[in-house]
Order: sequence, then C-alpha cells, then structure tokens
Amino acid sequence: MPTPEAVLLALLLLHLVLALAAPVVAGQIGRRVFLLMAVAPAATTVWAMTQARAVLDGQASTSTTSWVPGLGLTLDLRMDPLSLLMVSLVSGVGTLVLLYCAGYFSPVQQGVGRFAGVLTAFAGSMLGLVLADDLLLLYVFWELTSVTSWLLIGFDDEDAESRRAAQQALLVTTLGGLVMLAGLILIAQEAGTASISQILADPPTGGAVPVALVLILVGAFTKSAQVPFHPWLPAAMAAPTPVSAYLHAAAMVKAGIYLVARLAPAFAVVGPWRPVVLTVGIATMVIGGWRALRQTDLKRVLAFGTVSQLGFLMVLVGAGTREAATAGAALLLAHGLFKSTLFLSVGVIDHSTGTRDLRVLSGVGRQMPVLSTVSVLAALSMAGVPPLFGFISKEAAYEAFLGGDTFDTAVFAGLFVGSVLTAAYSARFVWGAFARKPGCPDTDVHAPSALLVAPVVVLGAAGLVLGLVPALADPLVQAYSSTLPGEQEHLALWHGLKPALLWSVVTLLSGAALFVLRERVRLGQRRLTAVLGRIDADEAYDSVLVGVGRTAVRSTALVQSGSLPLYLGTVLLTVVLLPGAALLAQTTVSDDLTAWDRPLQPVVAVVIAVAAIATARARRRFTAVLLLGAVGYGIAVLFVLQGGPDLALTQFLVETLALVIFVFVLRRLPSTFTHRSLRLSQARRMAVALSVGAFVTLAVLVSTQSRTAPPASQAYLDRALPEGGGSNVVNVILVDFRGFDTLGEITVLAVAAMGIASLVLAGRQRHSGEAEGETALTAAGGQAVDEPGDRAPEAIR
Amino acid sequence: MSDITAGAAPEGARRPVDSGAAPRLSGADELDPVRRSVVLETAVRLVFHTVLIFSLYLLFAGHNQPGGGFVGGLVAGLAFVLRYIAGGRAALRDAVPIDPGLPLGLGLVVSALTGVVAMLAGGQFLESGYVTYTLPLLDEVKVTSALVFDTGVYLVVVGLVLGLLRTLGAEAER
Repeated sequence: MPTPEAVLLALLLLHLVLALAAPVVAGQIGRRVFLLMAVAPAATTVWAMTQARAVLDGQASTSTTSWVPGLGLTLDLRMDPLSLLMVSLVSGVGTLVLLYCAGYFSPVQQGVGRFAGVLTAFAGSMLGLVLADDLLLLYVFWELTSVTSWLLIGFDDEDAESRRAAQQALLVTTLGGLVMLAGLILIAQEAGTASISQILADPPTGGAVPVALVLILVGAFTKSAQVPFHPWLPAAMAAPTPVSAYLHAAAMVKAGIYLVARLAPAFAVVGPWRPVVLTVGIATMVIGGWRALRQTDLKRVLAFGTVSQLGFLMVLVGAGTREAATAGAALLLAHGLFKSTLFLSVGVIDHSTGTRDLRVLSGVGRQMPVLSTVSVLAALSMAGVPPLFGFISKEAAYEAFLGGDTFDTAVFAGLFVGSVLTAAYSARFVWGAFARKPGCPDTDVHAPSALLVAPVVVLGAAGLVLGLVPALADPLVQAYSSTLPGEQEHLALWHGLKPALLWSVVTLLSGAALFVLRERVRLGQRRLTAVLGRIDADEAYDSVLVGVGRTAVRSTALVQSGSLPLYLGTVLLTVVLLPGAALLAQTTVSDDLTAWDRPLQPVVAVVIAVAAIATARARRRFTAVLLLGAVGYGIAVLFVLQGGPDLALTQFLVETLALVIFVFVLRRLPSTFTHRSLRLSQARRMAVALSVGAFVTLAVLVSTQSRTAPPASQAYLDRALPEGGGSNVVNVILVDFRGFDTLGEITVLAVAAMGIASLVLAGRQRHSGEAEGETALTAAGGQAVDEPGDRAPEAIR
Repeated sequence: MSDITAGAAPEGARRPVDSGAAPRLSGADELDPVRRSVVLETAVRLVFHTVLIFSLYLLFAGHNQPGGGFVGGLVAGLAFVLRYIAGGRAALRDAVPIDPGLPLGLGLVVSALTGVVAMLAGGQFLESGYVTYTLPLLDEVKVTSALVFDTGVYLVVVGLVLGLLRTLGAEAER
C-alpha cells in the first residue's frame, strides 16, 4: 500500500493528466470521454473513504513536496476532517456530475473535449484548494478555480450573454481573490509562517490581523456570492447545467464557506469577524430568498436559492461556536446534495422538454415519476421538512442561536426570515417544475436516458439516507466542530419537544402561506420595488465597468494629447527639473578640468554646435536631415578622437542608415516645414533646449568626478581574454558578459521591424483600398506583398 | 536628390527598356530610363560584393578587433541600401529574393539556441566557450560560441534593414 503522502499528490496529478488528455481522447470516443474523466474524482472519493477512519481519529493525512524552494513555496497537502467533508462533496458530487455529462451532451456537440478537460481541471483545482495546507498554495488553487470556472461559464462562446456572465464571474472573483491575497500575506507575515495548520494552532494576534481578516473575508464573500457581490452567480446560469450543479451548488461557491470555516476556529473571536460575517450572511440569505421568489426560470430560482443558502452557511460556519459549526458542517453536506440534485433535475427537464420556464411547464411530474420523486425529496430537504437531512441541519442551526443573548436572537430572526423564504421558493420550484397548471397544456416530454437520471437519484437518495440515519454523518461533522468552543450537539432527527421544533413548524407553515398567497406576494414585491426604487447590484456592476472604461478614456485623452512637442517637452522638462534640481543642490565641480586633450576636439565640437543650431533653423526638411546627419558624424569623430573605434563605427553606420530612412520618409512629406511656430513658442523651445543641454553638461561633469568605487571597466578588461576568449572587450561585453541584454535588444529590434511593417502596410492599405491578395500584417513586407506589381514586367519580358 | 528618389517612378511609367546593352544592375532595367544613372549603377555593381564581404570580415574579426555582429549587420544592410538606391525595388528583390522576416527570425533563433546549447553543455545560459584549431593556411583559428551568437545578431540587423527598405522604401513607392 503506497503511503498517503504519495497518494494525495498522485490524485491531483491524475486530474491534471486526464484534463490534458481529454481533448485528444474526445476526438476518438466523443462524449464518452466524461466516463473516463470520472475516474479521477471517483478514485479520490474511494481513497478519501478509506482514510476516513484515521482522519476522524485525528490522524490527518499529509503530504509535503518542495515546489519553489527559492520562494519557500511547498506543496503542502493535508486532509483533516473539514477537508474530508469538502473532498467528499467535491469529488463525490464531481464523479456523479461527470457521469451525468455523458448523457447530457448531444453526441454531435462541439467542444466536448475542451469542456471535459476544463471540468476535470476544475475538479482537480477544487480538490487542491480544500487540501492545501499553505496559504499561498491555497491562493493558487483558488485562482485556478476562478479561471476554469470562467472557461466553463463561457462554454457557449458564441453567445454574448454567456460571455458577459463568464467575464463577470471572473472579474468579481479574481478581484476578491486579489484582496484576499493581500490579507493572506498579512496573516502569514504576522504569524511568521504560511502553513495553515501552524497558523491555526498558534493564531497570530498582531495589530494587522483584523485588517488581514477583513481582506480575506472579502475574498470569501466574492467567491461565495455574498451580498453585494452575488449577481455573478445568477448570471452564471448561462453555463451548461452540469456546471451549475457542480460549480455553483456543490463545489466552487463553497470555497468561500470553506475558507471561513477553516479560519473560524482561530479567528472568530477577533474584533470585526463576527459582525461582518453574520451581517453579510443574513443579508445574503434574505435577499437571495426574496429574489428567488420572483424568478420564472427554474435555474434562476435555484441560483438565487443558492445565494440565500450560501448566506445561511456563511452565518453558521462564521459564528464561531461549536453548535453553529455542527449545523454549518451538516448544512454544507446537505446543501451540496440537495442543490446539485435540483440543478441536475432542471437539466433533465430542460433536456426532455426544451424549456425551463415555470410558466410554460405543466404536468411534467406525472410523465417523469422517478425524477419528480427525487426532486421533490430534494426540495423538501431544502425547505427543511423532516425526515430529510436538510431538516436536521436547519434544526441544529435553530438550536444554535435560540436562547442566546440579544445578538444571537437577532441572528436567529434573520435565519427565520430566510428559512421562511427558502420554504416558499422550494414550494415554488416544485410547483413550477412538476405541477399540472390550470390553463397550461401538458408539456411534451422525451424520456431521458438512464445515464441522466441515475446520478440524480443517487444524490437525492443520499439526502434521504443521511436524514433517516444522521449518525452516518455525525462523526464527520463532530470531528470538525469539536475544534470550536461550545457544547457538543449530536445530529438527530428527534431532539424532543424543544423551541427549535416549534419554530421549524412555524417556518414551514409561513413558507407554505407565502407560496399559497404567491400572487399577492408578487404584487407586494412589485409595489415595494416601486417605493424603494430599484437597487440592483447587477446594474451597479455594469456601471462600475462603464465607469472604469470612461475614466480610462478620459485619462487617456488628458495624458495622450497626440502632440509630439508636448510629449517631448514633458519628458525633457521632467529630466531637467527633477534630477537637475538635485544636481544643482549639491554640485561641486573641481577646478582641475582640462578643456580638451587634443586640439582637434574643440574644432569638431564647434562644427557639431553649428550644425545643431542650423538644424533647428532649417526651413527645408531635407536640409534639416542632412544637418542632423552632420551632427551625428561629428559625434562619431569625437568617439574616434577619444579612442573608441567600435563606438565610432557603430555611430557612423547608424547615422548613415538613419539618414537613408529619413530620406525614404521625406519622399512622402512636403519639402519645407509647413508652418513656422510662433515667436513665443520658439523662445520656449529654445529655453527647454538650452536647459537640457546645460543639464547634460553638468551631469557629465559631476558624474565623472564623483567616482568612489573602482570602475567596472577594469574588471571587464581583465576578464575579456581569459573568460570571453576575445581581445575586443566591447564585443566580449556585448556577446558574453552582457549577452542576455543583447538577446533582449535583438528581440526588440525584431519586434520593432514587424511593428513598422504592420503600421506602414496597414496604413497604406487603408488609404489606397487595394486590399485584395495582400495580407500586409502576416507578410510583414515580405514577398507576397511584392507580387502583384512584379508579375506585370515578367509577362512583358 | 533625383538619384536618391530614383525608385519613386510611378507604376504607369514603367516600361521595358530597349537600350540594347546588358543590364548593368540586375533589376534596374525595370526603372524608367530617365531615372537611371549609369555611374551609380556601375559603382554599386563594383562595390556591392566588396561591402558584403567586408561586413562578414567585421563579423568574424569582431571578437578581437573593432567590429561584431551588430556593426557587420549594419554594413551588410547598407550594401542592400546602395542596391536599392541605384536600382529600385526590383534590384533589391533580385539581390535578396527572400522575406525579411526570415533572417530576422532565424537570427533570433540562432542567438537564443546558442544560450540553450551552453546550458545543455552544462554551463549557464549564454555562457561562452571556445576551441582552437590549427588549419592549413590560416594557422591557429579560434572558434568561439560567441561568434555563433554574433551571427544571430548579424542576421537580425540585416533582416531589420531589409524590412525597413521594403516597408519604408519599396512599399512606399507603389
């Protein structure tokens, strides 16, 4: 039997390998690729079950692999009870969803391989996230789930709505992820380690910890779709249904909950934690439930229901008491089971009837008895009806907050309202999906394949079994909640006649009443909206995006005026003012300056100066270019006189080439400068030019005199022949000592050459409109572009 | 200035030359006869190959004397500039019937691979080494890996100049 360490890493790698292989394999076996993909999460589930006994006894499976030793990054994996709970959700539900996919997609569906690969990659990332025992590793997996989820939501990339939804999910969750990263780094610095288990064992108490926690919570809130970041989740319903069931019910949205549950034992007592988590959680639970009541698309009913339940979970796992954590862990499991059942059922309905609109669907329940039975069970579990697992977790939640202080009571009131709404939208879902509605003809149903229904049945049955025998889940739940302070509260179907039971009954009755009076509720909601005005977080998201775009346009217009003199003036003046002022402040030019070494130098200098002034005064462009060339050649002569033949050679050649290129460009320009600038602006330019000249002179004088260390050039001179094998030290520096720089520079040259070609050729095409047969960008000035003109003379010959 | 802008003959003005004489510079016969310059064409014919060989000399000598890949590439590029100025874009095309992207990309690959080979040989990226042979006539010849790297630089610079000639020169004519 291999060691647990090896297996943990091997399971992650198995996901990766299968994900990479998926597109290739799908080309051979089509949609059956999903059955192959299911091997990875199935193997993980089986292995996790074999380890369960040891993990529950307190022996967490761990694995440590060195990853980036230079940064102190290690692949630390650890499976403790909370991770085991998440793994059973992530991999258990993942297996069933992948099996379901094999029946969901049509055999001729395009892009199945890519989808299967990304979905498996997501399952692996999520597995890594819940197993990571290092804050930075957790962050890496966290962002991997964001990216894979972006690809999955945007699966139908020809649909604008799904592209928008994918982008929204990506922007919101990665924004939160970045904020969270700052928090994680703060915590790691306070604690002196990034290891999660060490941080939890010995929580840091520094002043930065509350700030870090709030930052981390922002990340958790965005990922778990808490108010006001929630709109991305309903929008993400544009994804194929298996994605909704897996990412947006069982796995990814639980990442935030997981993180809060992970940190709560150590940090729930820290100042801002409880107020922030509980307020946001309650608000999310109520708003999500409220919005779910008005949806007409079954998937969106479930999506807002998920938002609501995520708020519920956030409250339970964030409260930081053992009772609440017990309820939270149970609800985590229950929600994963019933919500994925419901999503997959909607997928089956959509698949068999072609619609998800609850105003159109009618009489589906009688035509699909198995599916409707399972779905109704799941919905009852969601509403909190005994004897289902959802009831047990809700009962435990009520117990946790009843009879406490005022704060607890306020939280309970929020949970109660949210649960009433949950019961109401559960009823709305069942009615909408399966009931026979008066005035609606029965919907045509094509019998779904067994592969579609079987996973749904398994998931739904699990909820019932756990409800009847809660002792199956109890050890797992207790193993986690025992890490928090409070009294032990076993999961049980019957707790005796306690206030919680009474409140459960009241919840169900109120929920039923809300459902029965749904027409009135609908009108009431509409009236309330009219009174309060529309506050829509989704519109807020849009206006933020528009605002960012507008700010970018405005600041670009402000900074990029398009005036070359302005750019140049800004650059030059900045140089003169900032380093120039510093230079003037501490300048001591020593007296022993020699004016020149050879008498020829001042002569060349005068020539350069005269040519430079003449360049600025030239009226014809061609004259200006020639004079500029004279300046350049003059400088090359100075290099020669100073004893730098390599530099001089390069200067001569570059100057010549520049001259030629200038002339090419001049052919397209008028021969004289078109308009003379005003006298005032001339004076201003002269001032800038003179001050830049003065600055450079001063800078050279000062910098050559202020040497304190021996020049680096001596070392190069010494090393050139023995190490570089050459006696031309300039060349040895270029190709050996600083070879990397040279490689970078020639890359820049190549990119510049392609850029010029693209600019010139693309611009020319636009002007002349003779685009046929010319692919200017790809040819980059190549042979293909020359052809049309060159064929003619050949024909004449 | 008319010599320099010789290539600017408009498309319609082009006609076959019936001068009876052999073309002095390959491709130049596609130019408008009015714009041709006998002196320039002959001069370029004389110096073109010499300049190219000089550029190779600079490339090889660079490690111990003034020169190197960059300078050599510029000189080779200027040889092509001369050809273009004297004979227009047809002369340039006859001299280098390849896409300028080829030397550009090839040069980058050669330079980068030199670095990789150094790594494969157990050194650092771009670390250089050399071997000394004794060849007949040439006596001792030292071949350095830096020369290969410099050849890449040479090719990139040649490609850059050719690209500029095509885009700003030849293409702008049409």
